[in-house]
Amino acid sequence: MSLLEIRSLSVSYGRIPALRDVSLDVEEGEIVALVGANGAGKTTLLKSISGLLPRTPGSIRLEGELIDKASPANVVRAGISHVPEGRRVFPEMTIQENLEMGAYVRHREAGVGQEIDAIYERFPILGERRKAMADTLSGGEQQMLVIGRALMAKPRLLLLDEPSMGLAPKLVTAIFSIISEINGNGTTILLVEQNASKALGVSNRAYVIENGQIVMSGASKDLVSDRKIIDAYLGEAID
Amino acid sequence: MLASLMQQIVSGLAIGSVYALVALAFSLTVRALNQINFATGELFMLGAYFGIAFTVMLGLPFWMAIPTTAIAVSLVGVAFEKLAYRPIFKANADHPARLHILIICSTVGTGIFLQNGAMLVWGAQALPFPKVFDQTPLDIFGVLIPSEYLWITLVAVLLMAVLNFFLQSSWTGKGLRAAAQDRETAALMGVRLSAADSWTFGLSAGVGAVGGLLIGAISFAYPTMGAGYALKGFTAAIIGGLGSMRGALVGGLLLGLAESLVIAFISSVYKDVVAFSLLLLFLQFKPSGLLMKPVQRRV
Ligand SMILES: Nc1ncnc2c1ncn2[C@@H]1O[C@H](COP(=O)(O)OP(=O)(O)OP(=O)(O)O)[C@@H](O)[C@H]1O
Ligand SMILES: [Mg+2]
Repeated sequence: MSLLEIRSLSVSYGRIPALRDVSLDVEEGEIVALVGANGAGKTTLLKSISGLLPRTPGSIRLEGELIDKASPANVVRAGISHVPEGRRVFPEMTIQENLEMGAYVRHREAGVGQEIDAIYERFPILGERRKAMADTLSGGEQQMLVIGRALMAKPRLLLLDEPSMGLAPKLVTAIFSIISEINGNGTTILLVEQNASKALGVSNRAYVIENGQIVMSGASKDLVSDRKIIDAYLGEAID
Repeated sequence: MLASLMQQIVSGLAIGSVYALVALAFSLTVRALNQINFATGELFMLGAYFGIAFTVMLGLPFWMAIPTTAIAVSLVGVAFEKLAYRPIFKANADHPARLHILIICSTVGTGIFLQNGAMLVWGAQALPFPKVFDQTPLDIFGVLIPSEYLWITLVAVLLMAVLNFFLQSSWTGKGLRAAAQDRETAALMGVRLSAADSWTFGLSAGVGAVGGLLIGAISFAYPTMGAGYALKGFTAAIIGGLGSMRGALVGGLLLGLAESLVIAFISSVYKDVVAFSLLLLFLQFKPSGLLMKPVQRRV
C-alpha cells in the first residue's frame, strides 16, 4: 500500500479547472518530485492534499485511509506537513514561537522543547537568533525556519512547495542537501519544484505536470535523460 | 486647584482604561479577521446589565461578578460568531469586498437586536447599579481620590495583562496569534480556524463587557449606553493603532487623560470634542496610529 495514493483527482477554482484526473503515488521512504511550469497546477495539488482546497471528484488516501474530506487541521494530525510556497513564516512571532507552532498538534506530548533544540542543532543560525522576529530573517533562513517548523509536527509525509524559489545558488544547494538529509532520517517527501534538474537529482521518482494533467512519470534517473524533459524543463541546465 | 487636577487625572485614567478595554475589543476582531464589530458597544452594554443581574439577582459579590460577566458575555460573543458571522464568512470568503459590507450590516444589525433585546428585558429606563465600591475617598498626600476610580483602573489593567498572558503563553493563544498573522498557514499547523474565530469573538465580547460592567458600577445601565463608549473606544484604538494590543492601552489612557484635562482647564462641555477631533486628526494624518507599523499584511 502506498503511503499517499491519489486517484483521478480533479480540482477547479470556481468554474476554471486547475487539476484534471490526476493520479499519483508516493511510497514510504521515497522522495517524489513534481515538476512543471508556472501555473501547471503544482501548488493546487499540494493544497488539495493538505485540505486547503475542496476536492471533488477523486480520492486521496494516506495509508489507505481517505483524507480527502479532512480539514487542514486534521490532515496535519494524520501525519502530513505542508510547507507552503513563499516561505510563510509567522512574521510577528519569534523563531522559537514559529517552531512551537509547528508542534501545535502535539503540544500535549512531552519533549517538544528538546525537539526544538534538535532543530537548532540542524540549523545553527536559527538557534543563534531564536528570540528574533521571523520577518527579520533572510530568505534562506526563513526557508530553513519553515522546513524546521514543518518537521516539528513529526510528519510521515512532508510536502515541500518550491523550497528553492528565489534563493542564491549556494543556498539552493544547501536546501537540497537538507531535503535528502531529512529523507535519510525517515521522512517521506513530495517535492514540488521548478528547478527540475535539482529536483530530479534528489528524488527517486518524478511526475511531470502540464496544464493540470500528469503527462509523464517515472524514475528520476530515467527522466533526466529523456529528450522531451530536457527540452521542456532542463534546457541549459544540462548542457 | 491642584487637588481637583489630581482628581481629574485619576478619573481620566480610570475612564481611559475603560476606553482601552473597548479599544481592545475592537482590535481583537480587526487583527484576527480584518473586520470591525459594530456591536461592540452593545456587548459593552450587556456587561453592565449582566453585572447587575449577577450582583443583585444572584447576590454574587462584585469581584465574582467580574469573571462571571466576562464569561457570560463571551458566550454571547461565541453565539454571535456562529450565527451572525460564520455563515456570511463561509458564503463570501472569496469576495472580500462583499464580505466586508455584509459583515458591517450583520454586526450593526446584531447591535440593534441586542439593544432592543435589553430594552425588552430590562426596560428603557436606566437601572441603578448597587454601590459596589467603598464610598470613602482615599486620602493620598492630602488629595481625596474616590477609590472607585482606582479600582476601575486596576481591574481594567489586570484584565489586559491576563489577556496578554493568555495570548502570549497558552497554546490556544499562540494559535490565535498565528491565525491572525496567516490564516492558511495557521490551518496547516493544525489550528482549527472556526474555533479560532469563535475565540476571537468571545474574547472581544468578554473584554468589552468588563468595560461596561465597570462603567455600570459607577453609574447606571441603560440600553443605549454602549454607543458613546464604542465611539470613544474606537477613537482610542485608532490613536494607539487599530489592531494593536499595546496601542489599545496607550490610546485609551491618552484619550481619557486628554478628556479630563479639557474638563479641568476648559469646560466639561468640550469633553466630547476632544475625542472626535483626535479621531479626525489621526484618521487624516496618522491612520496607522501611534504604535502600529503601517505594514502590508498577508491575507
Ligand atoms: N485562487 C485561485 N483562483 C483562481 N485560479 C487560480 C487560483 N490559484 C491558482 N489558480 C490557477 O490555477 C492554475 C494552477 O495554479 P498553481 O498555483 O497550482 O500553479 P503552480 O504549478 O503552482 O505554478 P507556480 O510554479 O507559478 O507556483 C493556474 O492557471 C492559476 O492561474
Ligand atoms: Mg506554485
